[in-house]
Amino acid sequence: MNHSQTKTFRLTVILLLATLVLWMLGLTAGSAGFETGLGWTDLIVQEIRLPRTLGAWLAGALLGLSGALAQSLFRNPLADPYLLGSASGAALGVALALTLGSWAGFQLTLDVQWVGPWVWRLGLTGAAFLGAWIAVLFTLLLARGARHILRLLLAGVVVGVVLGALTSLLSATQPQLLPAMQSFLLGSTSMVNGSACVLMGVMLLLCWLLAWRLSPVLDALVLGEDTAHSLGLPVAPLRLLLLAVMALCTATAVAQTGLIAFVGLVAPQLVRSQLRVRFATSSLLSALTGGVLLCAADIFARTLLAPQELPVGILTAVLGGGYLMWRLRSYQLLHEGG
Amino acid sequence: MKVLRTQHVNAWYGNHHVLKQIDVSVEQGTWTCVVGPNGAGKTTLLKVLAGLFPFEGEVWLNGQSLCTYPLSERAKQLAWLSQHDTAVDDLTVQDVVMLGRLPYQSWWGSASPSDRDIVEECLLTQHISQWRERSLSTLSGGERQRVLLARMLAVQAPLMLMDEPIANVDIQHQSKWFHAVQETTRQGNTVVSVLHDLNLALRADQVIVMQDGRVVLQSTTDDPQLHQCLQQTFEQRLRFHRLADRWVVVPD
Repeated sequence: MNHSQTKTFRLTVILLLATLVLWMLGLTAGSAGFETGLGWTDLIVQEIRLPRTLGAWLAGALLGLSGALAQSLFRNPLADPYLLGSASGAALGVALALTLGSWAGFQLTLDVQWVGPWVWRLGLTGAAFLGAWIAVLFTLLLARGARHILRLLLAGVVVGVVLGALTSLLSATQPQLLPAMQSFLLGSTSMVNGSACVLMGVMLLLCWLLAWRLSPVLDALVLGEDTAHSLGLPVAPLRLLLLAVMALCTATAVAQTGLIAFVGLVAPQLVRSQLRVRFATSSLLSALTGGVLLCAADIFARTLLAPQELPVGILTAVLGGGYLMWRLRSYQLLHEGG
Repeated sequence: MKVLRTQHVNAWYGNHHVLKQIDVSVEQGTWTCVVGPNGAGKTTLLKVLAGLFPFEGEVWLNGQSLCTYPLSERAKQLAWLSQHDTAVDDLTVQDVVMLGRLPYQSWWGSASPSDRDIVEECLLTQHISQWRERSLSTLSGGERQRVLLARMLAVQAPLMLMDEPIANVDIQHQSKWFHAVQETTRQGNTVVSVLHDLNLALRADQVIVMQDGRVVLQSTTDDPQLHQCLQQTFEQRLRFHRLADRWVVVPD
């Protein structure tokens, strides 16, 4: 085993152990802080804490994978599902689905049971996926491609703000959806149930398998578009396919947990700060890191002010915003010497 | 046999006409150098020959229109080395060289033992096997260039197009590159390179001189017209000296 493989193995073991510890903690975390007296058979563990803990981890893993895809695809360490507008697009997709359902005369909430939890979860995910994909295409169109970092980020911010405003407008026109949409926009794992976990698990496996098999494309793209093309890769259609995988990851997570910022940005960067490996490995590690980050943040959000619960999206936004400011400061110091 | 041939090729960057009526041909088993001042269209010509830049006109590869080649087949026939292959911080040296074997691997497959052998051979040829585990971000510009050259060699294509392959490379490795090119052309492979170093360019079999998007001259290096053409192209600022059996160019 060479040095790089040893580091990869060590990091994987650490992340898996952290996952196990966090899952155990997640099962004991409740409105009264950490409770150790409850068993697997308790309803509160089976129906609430288990899906929430597992759901937080799965949503984080999806966001981590999505961020790894975005950063490799755009060769930009600041690219993430939020900064590219895909999360805002996914949120608008969900809001539109709810509004259209409401106009059709249904009484809708985020955990509506009228067509069965599966169909509903799939429908929300599909709407979020469409919204996410269209938003990323808008961002790319506005930025005239992904090569100019500043233009791409500004375009992403513009698309995110505009789509966010549209989502707010839709929520305001449908007062009965406001409570659900508010918790959705703040980001929360309280909406996650068993079917959402299964859906996220299946999507995570599917998206990671696709990303893994297409990883040579992402590795080759790191050498530049011309070189990737000269190696026989149909760059444009593969880029669209990878973009779709990224949007699917984001949309699946957003449709189940709402807007949870910065996990997709931070997870791949943390992995890259530890080791440099091919995309097949870094995507897996980014997913594991994302899972660990969101699971930890969720446990904090549930216990920090217990019995009151913080929306986990607020916590990740605060922590992630601080991290991004630190990164920008490091970048300025490195490139401007100031 | 002509490996590459262009007929009335024109290309544009937006409204800027960068290649004008290009007619060139390249014989199999030869080394052709494209030279000219900055902005003459050398890199664009090389990109057109590699099928990486949109153009009007015709380019034939082995007698077949380049546009009709399937991507995977073209990738096996023609290897490309860009002067901008630099942003490879995430990959190790070995990973980068292995990318050269992509045309032989299906998307759903992985590297075969033969791929690994070829990569090993390229690492040894370029004397970079000791860095195999290092990330490219830890190498100097010249060292990176050798890794990228090894990546291109790993394709094992009979035609190699190289844009400034030895920029930033130290003199002993420039010499090794030159001998490697001579060896590969002796084996029947073909090399087309853009070079700014006229001394090395004058050791090629053929030189294509470009200026303002046009081919001013395509000839062998012993053609008496070549020196005159180079003088005109570089504003009479060159001085040619005969040293042993070769021409040496110095700025005047």
